Amino acid sequence: MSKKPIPPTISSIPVHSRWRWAISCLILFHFAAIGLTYAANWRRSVIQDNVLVWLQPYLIGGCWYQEMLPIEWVSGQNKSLPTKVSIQTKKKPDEWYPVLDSRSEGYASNGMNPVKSRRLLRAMIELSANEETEGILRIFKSIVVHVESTGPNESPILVERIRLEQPIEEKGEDSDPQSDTREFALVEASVARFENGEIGLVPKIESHRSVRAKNAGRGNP
Amino acid sequence: MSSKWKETLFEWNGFWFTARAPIQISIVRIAIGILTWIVFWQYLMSGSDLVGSSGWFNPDAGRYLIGDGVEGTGSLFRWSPLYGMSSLSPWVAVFGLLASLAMTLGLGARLAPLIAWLALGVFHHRAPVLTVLAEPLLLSALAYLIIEPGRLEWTIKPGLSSGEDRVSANLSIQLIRCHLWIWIAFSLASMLAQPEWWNGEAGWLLIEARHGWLRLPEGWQPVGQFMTHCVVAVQAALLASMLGSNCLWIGRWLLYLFALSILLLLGDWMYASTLLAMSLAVWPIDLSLPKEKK
Repeated sequence: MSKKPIPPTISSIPVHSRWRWAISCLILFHFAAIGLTYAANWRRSVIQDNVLVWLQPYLIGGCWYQEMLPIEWVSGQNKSLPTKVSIQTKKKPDEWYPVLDSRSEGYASNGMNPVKSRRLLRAMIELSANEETEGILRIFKSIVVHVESTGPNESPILVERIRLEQPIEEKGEDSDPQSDTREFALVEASVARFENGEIGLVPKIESHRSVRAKNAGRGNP
Repeated sequence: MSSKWKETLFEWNGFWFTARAPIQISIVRIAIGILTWIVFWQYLMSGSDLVGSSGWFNPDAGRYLIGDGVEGTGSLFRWSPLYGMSSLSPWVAVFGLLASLAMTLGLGARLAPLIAWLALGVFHHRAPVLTVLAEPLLLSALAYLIIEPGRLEWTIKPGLSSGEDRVSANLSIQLIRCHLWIWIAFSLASMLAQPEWWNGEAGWLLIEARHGWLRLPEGWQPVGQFMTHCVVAVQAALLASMLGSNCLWIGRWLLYLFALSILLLLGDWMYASTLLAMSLAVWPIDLSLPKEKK
């Protein structure tokens, strides 16, 4: 078997061998740390957790830490279902108006990058799955303040209720083209207004409730 | 020292410390510069709406989601000033825009990618939960470009003198290359950790959720299943092709397929473009002028 030829430029490398060792060690450390943080999206152990915490100054400070970033495209079926955040206003208390929709394709509806909007909705779904209601309420509050501050001055929008929902299409055997579509509210909260102008959010206790959104006059609850 | 160990050491040295003409890294820098410019333009247009004090995701919600004050979350190292001064967001975007423009034009040497990296890091740390797939790749590419951003002139005269070759140019290229490989490897691994990618449902779920550009009528699930398996197979083959120099040429076409599947299923054109830009470190484009006929 013929021996592999040694790259001819090796001898003329203008890097001192001591530096080569130092750089080599840094490269190994760097990719081991990155491998660890990416692998945390996939599988994680207690040792991995401890090492990641120890490496946080380098990984987080250097923007290499990607634990919050799911590099997979689909993460559990419910996280890929169409998701919406809808509000009810004082003017139209019977109507739910979607402000964030994972199916929106452009900037037109809310001025938000559709990919970022999907990320926010996905984070909310993850919080909902982990029953982190506090986190969802903070995002709800942020959305309410944003929606109210961007409304027209002459007729300001006052949000009464807000909810995170996933539509579920139900198709029975007697398949009707206008089949039932239900909006399943995962978390719902009412807006409470204080005298100093601050707002608070009161979560609905019975959060898992199906509410008919379309075909409202067709019977079934 | 055994000959096997010596050989490995030589290969390692050859891989990382061989001097290389800074042309390839210059092309990567231009591509990354353009994409970073687009990202900062988006932040300039909608950054305040997103992370401002009355934005969709205000500092209070941001602090909660990074686990502010909770031990072990590393929130201490999230150095974005936008938590306290959210009105700075347009200024950071302007700095980023200028730096990425300078980078694209080959001005500012290492300072341009450094400023662009810092500015993008400010947005990343402010809302890591909203970070989209392109941004961590751009951040890493910018960090590697600080080592060697290449040169101002990027149009190539055939045959550069060996005196102009630099080890730092090779280091930057190989770092981007390895980073890309690790990224695709973990993208594949995290897909395979979910049953949806094994049973073929993932593609249909994405099509049904209308994330990507592909629209299919009800009952076309087999197409979604086929695409799911294709995405997995293409990524596996892409990784293999990046390892072997003999089949590297196939990798270029596999990468185009992968980028196409990102567009069709995810609709994230920035992610697809960033992958293509970083892949210039693996599959360089030939800009050399055709030789004159004698």
